[in-house]
Amino acid sequence: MEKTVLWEKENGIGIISLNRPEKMNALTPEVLQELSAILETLEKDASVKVVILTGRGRGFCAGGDLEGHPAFSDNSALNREGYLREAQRVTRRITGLPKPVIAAINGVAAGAGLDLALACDIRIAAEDAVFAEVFVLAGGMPDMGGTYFLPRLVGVGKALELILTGDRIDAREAWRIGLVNRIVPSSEVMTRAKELATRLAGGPSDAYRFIKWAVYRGLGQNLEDALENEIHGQSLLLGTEFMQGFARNFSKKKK
Amino acid sequence: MTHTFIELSVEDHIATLALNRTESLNAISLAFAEELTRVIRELNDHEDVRVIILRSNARGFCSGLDLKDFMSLGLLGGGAKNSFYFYDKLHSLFDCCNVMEECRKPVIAAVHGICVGGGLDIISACDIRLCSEDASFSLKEAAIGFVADMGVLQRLPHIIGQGFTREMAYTARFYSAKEVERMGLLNAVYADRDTLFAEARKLAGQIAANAPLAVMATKDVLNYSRTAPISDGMFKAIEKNAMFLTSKDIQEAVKAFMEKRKPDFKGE
Repeated sequence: MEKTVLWEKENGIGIISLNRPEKMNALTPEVLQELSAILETLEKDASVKVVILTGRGRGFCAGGDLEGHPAFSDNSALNREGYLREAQRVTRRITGLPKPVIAAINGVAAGAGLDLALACDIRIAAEDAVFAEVFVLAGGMPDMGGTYFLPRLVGVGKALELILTGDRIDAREAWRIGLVNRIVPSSEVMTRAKELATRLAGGPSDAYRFIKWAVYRGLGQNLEDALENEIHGQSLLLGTEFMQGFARNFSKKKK
Repeated sequence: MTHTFIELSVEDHIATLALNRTESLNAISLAFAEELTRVIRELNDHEDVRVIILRSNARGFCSGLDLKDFMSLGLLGGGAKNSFYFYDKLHSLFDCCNVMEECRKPVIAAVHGICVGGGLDIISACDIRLCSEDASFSLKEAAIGFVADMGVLQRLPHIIGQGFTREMAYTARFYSAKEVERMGLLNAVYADRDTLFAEARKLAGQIAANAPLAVMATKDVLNYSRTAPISDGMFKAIEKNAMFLTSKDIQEAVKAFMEKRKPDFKGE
């Protein structure tokens, strides 16, 4: 039986593909566990500099698979809490990964599937992709970080509108409001994602790690603390061969 | 269960974790710290375990960081790049302290003999500290050129206050059991090692008799409340109880009360 999440390495890029195309890559506890384990592997693999997350088939990820999901049948609120915490581990692994993560959104990104895309650092979407925070249609709320990421990307007003209504928006609208970084022809999603990933893979991965860390940390802090993050990161980066070499070449060029 | 540096036994819902790197007086090497972290995490997931006792099989509790092991990493004298990897390479040292707090089951540290540097860092992350009269403690880091970074500077003030923490940290000297007892570091001091271990077991038994989910949630709330506003901390406890309304243990508690007997909690 094929695995529900696949991954491969290519030129310093780790590519993760959700693999339940017949179910639009809907998430089950097993899929999330698999995803978490793969992210851990890619984090520890020094040859992987950038990660791309995408979905096989027509959709990116349609959200939690309601069919037979234990969170619905379990009567104990305590156990339900357990499933939710497990799912959120993936959110943390993505934002905590000290490497850039690019979501190559090849199709529908809905509910927890949208939350997954939002947890990534950069989003590249297919022209015909659609987006919806569908939790509310089932009577629920975002549970993999949507309430945190969406307002910060598109503003509180737009975020509330999308989360409260569960309305679906197309790629153009998603781009317009800042939910995705860019939209490309559907057949080109992976190519363009790989293009960006390759570019990043050739750059200073030490810097990426602190940039990502400082940006996410700074989101919850005031200016003073955010400045401290920059001091911590930059004072270490200044000692790296990359920066030292860059400064040397810079002086040489000027002469 | 066989581990390299640890001796573990589980009985009556109590896990007794004995540090067993006796030849080096439990000097904390990275491998040792990794194993300790892993075992605590396993006990956290172990359904039968409700309390953990942390003690030592050696002459003393812990002689601190294994400097030889640390030197072998080549971090010292290697230039700026090494600063980069400081956290990466040493994270198991930080993990082995954090894990005591992250573990939802209460951890009781039973200390005899010397407890130095990293050893003090570890027990400051435990819920309760007990010791025998022969115990001595030293927050040694400043004496070897480091700032204590395993969480002790954050945790100790909550236990013994700023004044005593600062004195211990700045002087890095040894303190006797009597001295630290006065500071409030310990819940109790016992005459000798055997009494210490017997009393630790008794205390663990008293904790294990209570509703496990409630005890774990109490630890969660206490950890959270240390740095949260009172209203936020309270809210966390209220949230937990809202969920406990559907727990079997609460029903058992009520039933036992009506039937005038001791409740038999299952942790559900």
